[in-house]
Amino acid sequence: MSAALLANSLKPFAIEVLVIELPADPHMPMAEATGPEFSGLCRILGLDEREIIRRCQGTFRLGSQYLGETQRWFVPFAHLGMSAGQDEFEQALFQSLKGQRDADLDLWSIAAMAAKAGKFAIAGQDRLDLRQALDYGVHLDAKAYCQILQAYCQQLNVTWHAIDDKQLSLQHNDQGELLTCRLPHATLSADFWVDLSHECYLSSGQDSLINVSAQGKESRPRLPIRHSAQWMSAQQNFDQPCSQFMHFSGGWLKQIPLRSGTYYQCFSSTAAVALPTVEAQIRSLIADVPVQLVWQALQSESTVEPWQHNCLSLGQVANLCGGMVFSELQIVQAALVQFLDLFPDLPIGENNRRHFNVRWQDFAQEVYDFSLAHFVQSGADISSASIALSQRMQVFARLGRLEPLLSDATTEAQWYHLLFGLGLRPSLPSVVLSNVDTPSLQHKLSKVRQTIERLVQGMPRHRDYLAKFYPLTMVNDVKHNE
Amino acid sequence: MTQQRIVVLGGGSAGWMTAASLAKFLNPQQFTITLVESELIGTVGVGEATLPHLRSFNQLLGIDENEFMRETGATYKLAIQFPGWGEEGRSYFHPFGLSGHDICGIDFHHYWLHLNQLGKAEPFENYSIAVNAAKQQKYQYPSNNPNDISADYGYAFHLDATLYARYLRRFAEQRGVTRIEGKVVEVCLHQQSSVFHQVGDIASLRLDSGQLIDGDLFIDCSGFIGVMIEQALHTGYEDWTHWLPCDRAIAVPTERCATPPPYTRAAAKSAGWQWRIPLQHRTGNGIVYCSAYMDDEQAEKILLRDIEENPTAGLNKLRFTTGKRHKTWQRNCVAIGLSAGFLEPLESTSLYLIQIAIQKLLEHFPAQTISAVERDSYNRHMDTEYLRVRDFIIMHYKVNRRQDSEFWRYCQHMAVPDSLAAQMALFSEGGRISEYRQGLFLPASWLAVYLGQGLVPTHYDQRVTKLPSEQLHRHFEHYLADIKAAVDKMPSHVSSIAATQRRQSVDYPAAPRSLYGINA
Ligand SMILES: Cc1cc2nc3c(=O)[nH]c(=O)nc-3n(C[C@H](O)[C@H](O)[C@H](O)COP(=O)(O)OP(=O)(O)OC[C@H]3O[C@@H](n4cnc5c(N)ncnc54)[C@H](O)[C@@H]3O)c2cc1C
Repeated sequence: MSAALLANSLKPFAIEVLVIELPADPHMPMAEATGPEFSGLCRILGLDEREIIRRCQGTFRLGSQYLGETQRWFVPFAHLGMSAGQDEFEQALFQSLKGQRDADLDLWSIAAMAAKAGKFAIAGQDRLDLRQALDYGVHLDAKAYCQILQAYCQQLNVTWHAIDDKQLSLQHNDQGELLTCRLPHATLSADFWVDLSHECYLSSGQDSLINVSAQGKESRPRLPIRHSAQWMSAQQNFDQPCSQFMHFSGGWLKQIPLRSGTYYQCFSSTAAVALPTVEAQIRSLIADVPVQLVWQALQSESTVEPWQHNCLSLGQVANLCGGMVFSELQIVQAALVQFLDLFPDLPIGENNRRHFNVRWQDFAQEVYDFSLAHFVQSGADISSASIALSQRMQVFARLGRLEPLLSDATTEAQWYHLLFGLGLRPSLPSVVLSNVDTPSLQHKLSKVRQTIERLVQGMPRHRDYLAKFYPLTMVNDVKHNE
Repeated sequence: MTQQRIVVLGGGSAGWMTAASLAKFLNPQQFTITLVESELIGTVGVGEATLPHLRSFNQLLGIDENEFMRETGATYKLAIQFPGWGEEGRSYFHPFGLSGHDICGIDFHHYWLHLNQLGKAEPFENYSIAVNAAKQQKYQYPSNNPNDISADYGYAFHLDATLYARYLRRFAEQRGVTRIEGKVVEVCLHQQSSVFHQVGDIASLRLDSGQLIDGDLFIDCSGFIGVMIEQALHTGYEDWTHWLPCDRAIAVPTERCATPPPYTRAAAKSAGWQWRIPLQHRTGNGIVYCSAYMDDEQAEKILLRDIEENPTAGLNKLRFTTGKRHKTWQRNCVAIGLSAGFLEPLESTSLYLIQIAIQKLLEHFPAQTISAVERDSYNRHMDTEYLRVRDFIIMHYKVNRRQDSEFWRYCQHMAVPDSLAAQMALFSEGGRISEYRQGLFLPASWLAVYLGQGLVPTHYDQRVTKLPSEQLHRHFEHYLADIKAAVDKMPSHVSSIAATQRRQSVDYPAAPRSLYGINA
């Protein structure tokens, strides 16, 4: 994806992109759950979104369904209500739900209601409001998606160097810039390097020059996730246009429905010795668990300053939160878009680099906070881990409002649903609504709810929609709309 | 249920904007709103140039824009003209609008920097439709079609602040605000804590008549003096004079100008600058200066020398200290307007800061027992807003290239806040601007001022050099031709104002959230 995005964006400017492909990592996720940035990427690359979905066992994703300890909730990509940016809509809703024991925010989210009913459709161009309210990502088979992007890169004449051995021999200049990388069959030189390996092969090798832990200021605190495991089950599920997160004590089990089967990823905060207990819990949640789970110890620490010298190390930062809520691709795409915005001239300016790293910190903070919030109900003490998150939770619990978002990593809607789902309930009513009497407020809200119900009723089932418009294909090439 | 008592002290723009907004939204059964002001003390009475955000404020209150124009003698505003800021004898505009559009995902100004280096570009401001309209004294509502070049700008107003306050007073009183005339002689604090209050919170205001006004939440709109926030609560003030050394102003109204231009003028002088704000019925003028480099007599002389019409009233002399209260919400008192802080009116930001303070207050409105959560969150928001405006205004001084006075040389060499230093370094290095998500002034504004004042980075995005320059040049020429065609079709500013005077009002577009129109 990185090569495709870079090659495409840099093509008009005759800039060459080379790729060094490392041996496959057995822990790479087998499925990809994207957000709406997937459609954006297809648009940028000129790829046919429909073909990708068809070739990658794709299903649609309106958000994530959470099965918490005691509550269930949905976190959609789209806003609450029928139109975006409606002043005080969320506050009106919180107010009307106040005191209700089983308050269900989902009833005012068409995305949540459609997903829960197993329905899906992309609204027509004449209903941009509905398109927005049903903003979606997709679930894709990671390997097939990778092949498509690789073919795309070939079309753009990206030079590809696949290597079997991770031993790279690097040569730097006195300023610490990476000049060349020697591979078994070739020596590559480049002006700029993007390192997507988790191990930071291109950057961490030169400790004296690019010691990320020494130079990259302090590392972000660890998320409570310590181990993860993944597997694929053959069970097909065409009725779930969303990912699902199931809570167990000390972690989350993430489920991604593909047309070929169901992909599971388990994220646990327990130490290695307690993993058998985790496995037992998972088996009690779902039937389809392999006899032996392969656990991977997670490094959820990462450098705060990914851009050092002429190298952007995105592999480590992309794995920032173990890929639990945000996929690596999502994070890398966001970082590369920012990077392209600041595309470095030579010699690379210190201020550009600093600016990128500061912006990155904002993005990473939000990714981290959003992921960390998932562990609040497990009783984890988050106040020392993130002041920003504690403030955000306090302000929400008091006023039903959000502290300003620092980046595009998350949307307000996602925070509203997550915090409400976690059980936080605003204690103060909105004074802006104090002049609106309760019956008319209730009336307006119930009209929105009815509209959503009616629309969802009229939507096709996700499985039918896929069968009709997205039948699986095994065609080798995806159309590239120049 | 007991009513929550809100007391607003001050009847200037801040006081009446606050009272009108609270009256619009708060339920009179749950809240009482009292405003105390003293005619004896009066208001600053200046504050006439605004930002496009004032349109959202009016819209929120449900004020008809044409009625507002009639009632406040307002004219339209598309830009601010800055003569003499880069170099003496040169001038530029900071428009409420965009200049050019990006090409292949790279910002327009990088292409401009490239063509400019090749000697093939016109001044940057020429690529702004708002500037072209302003220069030709034309005005038309922006288009609602995002593909139309006429959608690339927003607009604000020049208004008579006293008339606006009067208009809002009527609005507020009609909605139940009680106005009390009188001078506050004492701010009484709670001596004992209760469920609702802590020791040291404000309990009541004592007037010179002896009347006591009790309240739960107090809004301090008492102007520079900060009767509650400072005199009573001793909140403290962050002094920014070392970055913004101007500390005095003299204002004088003059006769109306026959063809009021749709822009504010802020002309640099030897130790400060002079404003000219055209209204329908008069023209506002004033000089802002630094007393360490220019005495009052000199300032008065320059002001009267450079006004274009005859004065219609005496001089209004003002002193100020640029800065901000450490906390604009302290205990049960929220300071709004000049009592919260002061940034010179170079970019017409004060009414905006009042408006944003009101909006944030409504969002963070406390219950009878105030918690630190809403107070701290409010203060965080307001700190950011003030810092954004502060940095942008300092930048005007810092990047001046005048050699004619000690004052301007001081400004060139003064240290600036780290946040601004980082922003400027980023631009100098490669023409980039850090775009923040909260607060005023996005890249379009920074670019207008940087490039307008002659801070042209030598480095820019080198990708733009890969496109054939002839092709790029043609693209620029077409863009200019499109702007010219659009502006040619616009009516004059004078006739657009005249259209608002009729009762059957013209339709105006909804207020966008941005300073630069719907495309920003
Ligand atoms: C030179 C200059 C030019 C400006 N130009 C612009 C501009 O172009 N655009 C812009 O947006 N802003 C501008 N401003 C800022 C703008 O004028 C103010 O932000 C705005 O007028 C709000 O003022 P205020 O209501 O806070 O204070 P004031 O207008 O000072 O009002 C204070 C009120 O408090 C009352 N009061 C004070 N003490 C007591 C007491 N003890 N008892 C009872 N009542 C009391 C007074 O009677 C008065 O009603 C300018 C300011 C200055 C100084």
